[in-house]
Amino acid sequence: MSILENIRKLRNEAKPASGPEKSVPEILNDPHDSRLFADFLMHSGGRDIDLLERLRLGDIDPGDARDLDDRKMEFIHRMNEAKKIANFLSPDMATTIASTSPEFKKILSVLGPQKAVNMWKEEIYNIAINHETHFTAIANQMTLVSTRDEDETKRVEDVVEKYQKSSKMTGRKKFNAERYAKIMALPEKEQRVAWSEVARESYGGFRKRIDTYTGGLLGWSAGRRQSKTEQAAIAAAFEEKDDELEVLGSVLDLTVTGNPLIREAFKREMVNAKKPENKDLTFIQSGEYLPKEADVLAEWNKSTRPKYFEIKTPAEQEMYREAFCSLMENAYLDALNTATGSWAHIAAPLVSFAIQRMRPLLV
Amino acid sequence: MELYDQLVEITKTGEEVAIRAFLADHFAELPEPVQQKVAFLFLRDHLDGEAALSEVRAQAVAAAEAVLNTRGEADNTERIAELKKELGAS
Repeated sequence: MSILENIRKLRNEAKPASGPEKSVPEILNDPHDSRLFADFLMHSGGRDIDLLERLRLGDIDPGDARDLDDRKMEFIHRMNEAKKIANFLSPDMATTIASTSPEFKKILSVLGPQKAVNMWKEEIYNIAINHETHFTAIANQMTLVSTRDEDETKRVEDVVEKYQKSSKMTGRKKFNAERYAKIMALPEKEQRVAWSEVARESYGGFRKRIDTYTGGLLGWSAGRRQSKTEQAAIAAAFEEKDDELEVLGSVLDLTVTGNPLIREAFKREMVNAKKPENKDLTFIQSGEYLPKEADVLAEWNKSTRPKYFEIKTPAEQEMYREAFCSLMENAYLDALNTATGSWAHIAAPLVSFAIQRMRPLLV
Repeated sequence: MELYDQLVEITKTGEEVAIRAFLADHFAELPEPVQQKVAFLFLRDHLDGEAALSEVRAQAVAAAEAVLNTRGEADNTERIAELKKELGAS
């Protein structure tokens, strides 16, 4: 059972958080409540600290009793708010969290689910009394999670289906769109794994095509220059890749402002991509031979290849810089390694493809 | 004290993964009040993820619906233009 299902189940079963209101003597006779009430008075400061001190000494007068009654109202209110949040917590929830977090699994093996819940509840009460702002943040978060649309997943699927129909997707495009939509509906940790897989496949395909396109100049795999027939086949392969990008782009559009999980998966894949051996890092470190982004852009703007979009503003340049650096470094190292062709010559098609690829990822 | 010193050293590195792993590995050795805080941090962590995912999904649906509405309007405009053309031609 997912954490969300747990919360919904508990919300449906939830009893009213507030029971019969306790009197001040009842609060003071309850070890748990009296400790929290003392904390509450302490945090209120000013006259309440004096009041607490007289309470400890058993030296209260009728005026103090009235003040205590007043302060009790605020205390009870906070305790009730904490109880509402504590009611959402259950042993099932602890087990669910352990199933996605190896660290918490270890913790649960020490505590057991019920004790973990008891600790959480105790902490919720502590925070409600001692850290009001912190508590408000947690309560808002819990409310957001527990009140989000019950049919949310279905709603996402419906919208994606309509989106696909509207885009008239068929065949492989449709297959990919459905795959990405399903990934979007997964819990965060599973999404990370799934997007990594997509990034690996996609970036792997990209590298193979670049290799083929450049006749193996980049050295990602053995290659050679192509005949005209082969070049036509390569062009077709690029079109297929463009289709994939379009689908990925449309799914990414759905996530708006760049889903950080997808962006992270692609960045990680690019950074971790296998680099050629025997690379001479001294060239890179000195910076003497490392081309600047401006040079690449100038080269790209001179290029006669079709432009998919223009890089106009410094903000846009900054936006693409990081992605370019990763790709350019690979290209440069490979060029050094194979000692064939000029870097700019190799980089032009690489950068053009990188622009297409990175555009949807860096919205 | 040795455990505390180790934790301080790891905390200095600022590596969250290492800190989490250390706390989980040594959980049984921690005093109960500290255990309570650590167990709660993992609950917070999970809630953060759930809330973030909820927001992303809500944004995704809103954006997609906006796109679909725009497309729907465009389709209508196109259809109206076609009908006008047909009517004008008839």
